[in-house]
Amino acid sequence: MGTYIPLGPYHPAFKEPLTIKIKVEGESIVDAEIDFGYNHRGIEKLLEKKIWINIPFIAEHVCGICSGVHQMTSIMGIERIYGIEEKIPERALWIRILTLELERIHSHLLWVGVAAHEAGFDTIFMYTWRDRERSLDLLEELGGRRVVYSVGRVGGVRRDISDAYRRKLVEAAKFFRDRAREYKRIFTEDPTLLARFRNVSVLPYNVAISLGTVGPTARASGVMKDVRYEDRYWGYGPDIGYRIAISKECDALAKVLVRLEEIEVAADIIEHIAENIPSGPIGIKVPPLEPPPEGEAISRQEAPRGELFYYYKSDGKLNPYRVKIRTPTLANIFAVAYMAKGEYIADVPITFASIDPCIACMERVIIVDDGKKKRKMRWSELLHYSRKWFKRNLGWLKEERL
Amino acid sequence: MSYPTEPTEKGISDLKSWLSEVVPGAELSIDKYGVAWVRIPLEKLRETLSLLKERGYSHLTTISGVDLLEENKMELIYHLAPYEISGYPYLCIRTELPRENPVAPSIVDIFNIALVYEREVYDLVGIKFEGHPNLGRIFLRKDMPEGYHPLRKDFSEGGE
Repeated sequence: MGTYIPLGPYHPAFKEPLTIKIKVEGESIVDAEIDFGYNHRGIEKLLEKKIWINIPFIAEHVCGICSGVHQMTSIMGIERIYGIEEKIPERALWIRILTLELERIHSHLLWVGVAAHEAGFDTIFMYTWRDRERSLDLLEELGGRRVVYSVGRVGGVRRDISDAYRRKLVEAAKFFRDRAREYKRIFTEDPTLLARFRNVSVLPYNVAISLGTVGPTARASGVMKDVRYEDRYWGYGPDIGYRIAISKECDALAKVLVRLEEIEVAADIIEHIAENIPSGPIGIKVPPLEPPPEGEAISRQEAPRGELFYYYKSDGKLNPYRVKIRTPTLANIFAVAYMAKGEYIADVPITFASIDPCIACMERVIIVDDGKKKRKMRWSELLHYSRKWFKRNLGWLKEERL
Repeated sequence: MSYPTEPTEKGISDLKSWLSEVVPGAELSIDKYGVAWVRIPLEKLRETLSLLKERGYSHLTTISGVDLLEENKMELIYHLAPYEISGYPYLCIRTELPRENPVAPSIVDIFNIALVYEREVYDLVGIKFEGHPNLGRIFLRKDMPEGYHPLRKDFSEGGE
């Protein structure tokens, strides 16, 4: 019994292409299947063709929201392959952490807005996206661009920060902390939001562990999984203001509150960095055309959505033998199917949004062609072909203009 | 300052004794970033993973499939993180299989999330998993021809 309803791949409730096939009996969902594969781009294969030090600048295009953490994780792995991780100056590491935390703030604010929008509360969407502009402006000043900021490079960072910028950071940290507290108040007091978020998309502690969820999705179920806490890479730790944000409520409201708490933690870290950043060089030189030794390395970091993982294999040549990326959304996506079971159809958008999905991130890997019409073409050949095609099909345009 | 995945002497000796329960003489090496690497035979894979899961390595980060074209082999690497135990290193377990018709045992009943990771390895590298409930394409189109596995080293993308 029951009826199947396909949601997606292109559906107004989702921001990115994905199919959720739900089986309903009346209003409630009895089963859910998830299918993806609409957004594949082939970055892992592309990375195998690039020289080592260029990899970070391609890797950051994996994701449009968390580009910084993709770049930093890829850099971490490459520095381990080269064996120079312990030589990176401290000031460079602090600027990297600053980038990661500013990015976490903008990603979480974006998500809180989207979650409120899925619940039909568009005022919060407007407010959070206004506040998010401030972190984007700071990132633009730091890296030069708003979305793909390329702050890091193998061996250090590209740009230093000035004293005027540090003063701005201190002010911004205070602003973000206040705003996060304000949103926390709204989410815990507003009756509309409480009705939509409390006791919806519940993910119990045992299930969160057995499904292998990561990041804020797991932490909202009381699971102490945070790579910053587990690995303490690059000097993350209580002495720079880091603490783990965790909740035992397991529902969608807990996922909101954990992320808002993380904004506060990030603001603390930014403030600490702005006040206490050590002086010194911002990088060491890495010869670009010197191949690294043979070997393998893994690197993992805490992205805004959870544990991000890179694996590298080097065979002693100038480009990597194998690059493997595991993004947090892939680990979390099947929790959606679990959480949707037993809920109402109206709650599907919130359940889906509650893991903070990033489909473009998840489906990075290969260049697809259909295997049938494959033909090699030189650049000059292609140019010639395009001119001929233009003459044949759009020749009248030129004549008319003459 | 110590952190949960920083390897301690007790952690390493425990890990060695657990591994030798299943695979006598398994060589555990710790690299300078505190990550443990071990190589085990394919037939002991399921046994090792279920034992490690019981003892606290309950988080499977991912499975990497690597095509070793020159050695005519395929390699699978299982990346495991400890959870709720302190002093044990992050662990990468590698196992080899032949390049012609590579088949590995599925670990879906041990780690649920392997449902996705095994499909990804099958899709892109072409290693089959015996016992997987619905092994198939995950990222590429569902009607891709048999043998179209782009991350294999002898795969040609066309173009220049």
